[in-house]
Amino acid sequence: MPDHPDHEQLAALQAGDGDRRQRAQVAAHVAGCPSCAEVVAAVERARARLALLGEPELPGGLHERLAAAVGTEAARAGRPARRPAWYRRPAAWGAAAAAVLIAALVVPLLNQPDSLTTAGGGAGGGAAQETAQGPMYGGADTGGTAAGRLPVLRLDGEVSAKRLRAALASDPAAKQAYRRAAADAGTNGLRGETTTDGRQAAPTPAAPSTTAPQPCLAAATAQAGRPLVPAFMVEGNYQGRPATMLVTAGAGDPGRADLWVFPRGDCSGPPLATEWLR
Amino acid sequence: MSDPSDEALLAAHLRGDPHAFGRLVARHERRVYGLCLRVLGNREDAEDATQEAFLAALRKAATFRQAAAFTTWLYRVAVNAATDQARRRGRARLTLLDPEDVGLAADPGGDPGELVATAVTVQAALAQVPEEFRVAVVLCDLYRVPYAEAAQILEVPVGTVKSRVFRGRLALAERLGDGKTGAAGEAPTRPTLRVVGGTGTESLSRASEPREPDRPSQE
Repeated sequence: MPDHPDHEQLAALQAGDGDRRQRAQVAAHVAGCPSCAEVVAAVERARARLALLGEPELPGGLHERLAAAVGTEAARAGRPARRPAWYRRPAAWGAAAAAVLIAALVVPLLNQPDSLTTAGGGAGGGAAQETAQGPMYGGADTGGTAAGRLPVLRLDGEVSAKRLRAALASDPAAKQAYRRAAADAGTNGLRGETTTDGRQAAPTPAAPSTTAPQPCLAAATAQAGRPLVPAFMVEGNYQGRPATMLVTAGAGDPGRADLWVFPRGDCSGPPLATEWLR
Repeated sequence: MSDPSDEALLAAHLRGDPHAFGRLVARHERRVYGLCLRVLGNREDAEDATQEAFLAALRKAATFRQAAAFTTWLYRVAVNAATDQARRRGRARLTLLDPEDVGLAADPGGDPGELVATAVTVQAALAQVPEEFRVAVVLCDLYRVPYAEAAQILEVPVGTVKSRVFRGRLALAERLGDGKTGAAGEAPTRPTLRVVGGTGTESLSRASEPREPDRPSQE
């Protein structure tokens, strides 16, 4: 073998797998090549050192802390045992619930004039409007009409749960958008099919691009395993990456707010991250 | 009486059994904590990441598919929680592990004090191995997860896992120095070893930076 074997070949030699003839060749090379032999020996020594590390003990108090955290989260999400029977069958509600909620809650919500265009220091109101009308939530943009848009909160720099909590507490536009969603969550709750007067559901299948955040909401709902009511979208960076984020209220749990993080402009997959806001 | 399987407990949780998830936590908390500790290198971060891991598992429980083993799924969630935690803390908290938290192998033989000192050194060196390789080493060398399962956990091809484990061990060897380990708390960083590859000689630290495209398994 004229060239030195690469890492994969050395790894295969060490693991004893891969093509036998190739392994024999690599072994022959290593036997006659001090630098490769040194690499293999060093790796072996490292492996032997690692064997010193066992399984650490669980620190005192961690078990209790985990039990408390899990208990709180379970209570917050609504105890599965108290859910109505239909709710316990993911297949039954997965798509259906999302569709009903979107039809009943999102569309009327979106038909209201958007008040939220910018926040976090007030930079870029016009840009925020542009963001809101960009084709990023799927499908071609209808261009112009306010219908079918969630308000977009645009934050410069890094978006964190802490920052959004602050916005929910003090930013008037964010507060308003969230209150609106929470009100919907409270009145319609899990029974998304009841529409009150003036809340006529739009013909949803005809205009997928006007219910722009639908993929994001559907993905978040699937991840959450419970119905969500969208409050507003957030544009900004999350952990250094451009992200499209959705803030939701929980249906039937109107005080709750969650953040769902997606790659910028792409809600086709499951959320990259989710954070409990309150 | 046999205990229910992990998968059965998760199914029970999804059906509304209020105790099922707690049992899963109790069953796996030590492993998940250990995994996080080895990846993160200090107890405080490992505790936070462990909590995050179980909360994420709770939130994502409905997305678990029976096609995979529960532990494979849980380890993936745990690895993600640990790497997220590492990202959150940045470089701010690279504290060394306390000797009493280090976790020795059951029966290594030899002088206990010296062994703890060596184990602390190994853990400190491990913390300096690039994360991608470190995670692979922790899974495969410390937790004895088979390569194929590690590939599922990390969502990369098997060949990539093997390569990462090898590179991780090599990087560890470099950080441990080329021979004897130093005293506790000393993190040897002498870059004495050179990695020889098919394309020529490159230094170890550089070798880990540009991501190689994933190569297919050699199997």
